[in-house]
Amino acid sequence: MTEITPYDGGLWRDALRRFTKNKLSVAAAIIIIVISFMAVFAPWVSPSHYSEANFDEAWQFPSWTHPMGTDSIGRDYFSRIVYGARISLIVGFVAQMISLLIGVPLGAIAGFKGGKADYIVMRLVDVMSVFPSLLFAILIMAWLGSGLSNVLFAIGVTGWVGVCRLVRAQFLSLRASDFVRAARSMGASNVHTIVRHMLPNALSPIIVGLAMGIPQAIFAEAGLSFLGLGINPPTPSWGQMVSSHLPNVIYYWHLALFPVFMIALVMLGFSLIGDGLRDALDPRMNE
Amino acid sequence: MFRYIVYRIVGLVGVLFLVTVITFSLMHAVPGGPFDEEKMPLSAEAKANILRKYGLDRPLYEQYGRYMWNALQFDFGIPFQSPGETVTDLIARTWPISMQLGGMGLAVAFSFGILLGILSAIRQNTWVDYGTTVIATLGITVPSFAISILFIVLFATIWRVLPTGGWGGPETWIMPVIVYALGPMAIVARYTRSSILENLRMDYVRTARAKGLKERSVLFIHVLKNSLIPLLTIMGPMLPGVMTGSLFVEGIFRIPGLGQFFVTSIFERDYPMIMALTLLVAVLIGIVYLITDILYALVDPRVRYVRGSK
Repeated sequence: MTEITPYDGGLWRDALRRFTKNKLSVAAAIIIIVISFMAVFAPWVSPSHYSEANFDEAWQFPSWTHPMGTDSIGRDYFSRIVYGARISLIVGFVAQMISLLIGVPLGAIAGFKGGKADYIVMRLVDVMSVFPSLLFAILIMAWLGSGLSNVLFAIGVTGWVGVCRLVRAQFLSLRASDFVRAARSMGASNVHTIVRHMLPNALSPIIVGLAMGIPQAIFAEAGLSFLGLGINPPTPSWGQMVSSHLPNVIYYWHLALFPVFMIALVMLGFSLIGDGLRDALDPRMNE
Repeated sequence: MFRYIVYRIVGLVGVLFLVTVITFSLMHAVPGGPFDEEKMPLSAEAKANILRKYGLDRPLYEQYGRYMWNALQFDFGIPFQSPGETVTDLIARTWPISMQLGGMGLAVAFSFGILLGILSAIRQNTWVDYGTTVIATLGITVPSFAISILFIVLFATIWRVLPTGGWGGPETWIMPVIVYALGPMAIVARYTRSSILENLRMDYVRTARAKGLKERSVLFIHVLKNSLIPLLTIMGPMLPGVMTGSLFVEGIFRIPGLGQFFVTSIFERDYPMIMALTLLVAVLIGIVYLITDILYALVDPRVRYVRGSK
């Protein structure tokens, strides 16, 4: 007789099981993992350094020696694409972390305290949501100057509103729940209640928000670099590579096309992972 | 109800005031000015004259006060990039182009989005459905400038059937309008599909079928009418973005609309234009939110009780 044991997966094992069932999201996760490896091990993956110029080999189309061709001063384009992945992924993760560090505490305080604190935070959210966010980011970049750390700051500071709204809504509904009341009645402090009891229960929407925010941050960086306000050359960034080769798109179309393809691939990948995470962490969504 | 609307309008005015303060301080924090040496070599005297003419020699709080006082009388100053006209003229000249592009984009997005949504709902789980899902996912996730460049490469350089850019006859409209429409179209298609599928399960559909109506009448007369009403709620938030133009699409296709000024104004330190553009977008978004909230309050009295009583 086989013994019947109850399934004791817990939330995360359960979520992982549901996530792996979604083939599209798994495929997207594999693509993102491959690109991440490319970015981390860029010096070993790429045939040459991204700034190594060889004027004899300028303007080449894809070939065996240069799989993506070469640019105007003969730099191997594949190497530049590989190094460009670093910038996109760093921006995606770090800018989102900055947004979380602003959005989560503000949303938590607003939802938990209510009253005046909620009023002030929500007016701030109102201001941020009517502010054209790209214009805001461009202004910040013009003020601070281009460069990676300023890009991270500009995108992080303009991108926290969504997370803040999400966390606030979660905390509003959690505040009235029985386990929070129980914790309060046993004398738990505000900080203890928020950090130990409410935050873990608000975690899954935060994670989904994070996964959905990463492609937006990557898009914002590509946009800023496209406008010449992002990453400083010669460090390659996909957005900057697109804009610098746009004028030649009629003759050397591959130079604009490869970075465009990579931006689209990474954004698609993170969005599909986000979709999968949402379905996996919130089973109520699909009946 | 009246109290609620007044309360919301006062709130919006406060928010807009804060937006002008932030924009004003940020743009003056940007190093350099509109009439610096490298932009135009002028004698010190001439430069002082120009600064005095535009009031730029005054302390910041005074400049801000004067700007707001004039703006309240709909005088938004003179754009430094094009001193021959007023900011109002410049916007009146370029905004209609962006609006035309946005309007055509929105029309394409809604007609094709609804069509795709219907097709994938009635052919659920067939290749039509999956194809639509793929297009919708691509439309939402792939950035518009990426699609623009893909289109230029395909249609303008490889097949040479369309011009690479410009704004003239209908052949120059095709690519930017499609690029513009793809994102909203994807959202509309997804929304229509799930809305129709939801409605098909309703009791009234069973009743309609039971009384012997043809499947086509059930779908087009009963289901469609009920499924498309929620689309109105997703149209609102799309409007401000669509109306003011995309600086990427307009930049890539060289369209002389409003979008380009979002970047050039900041590069040129064109203070009056930066303020006007921020205010324009903020007012549009604010009004859309206001109308949405008022409509919600009309439908659901609880909203105005809770928010209005504070």
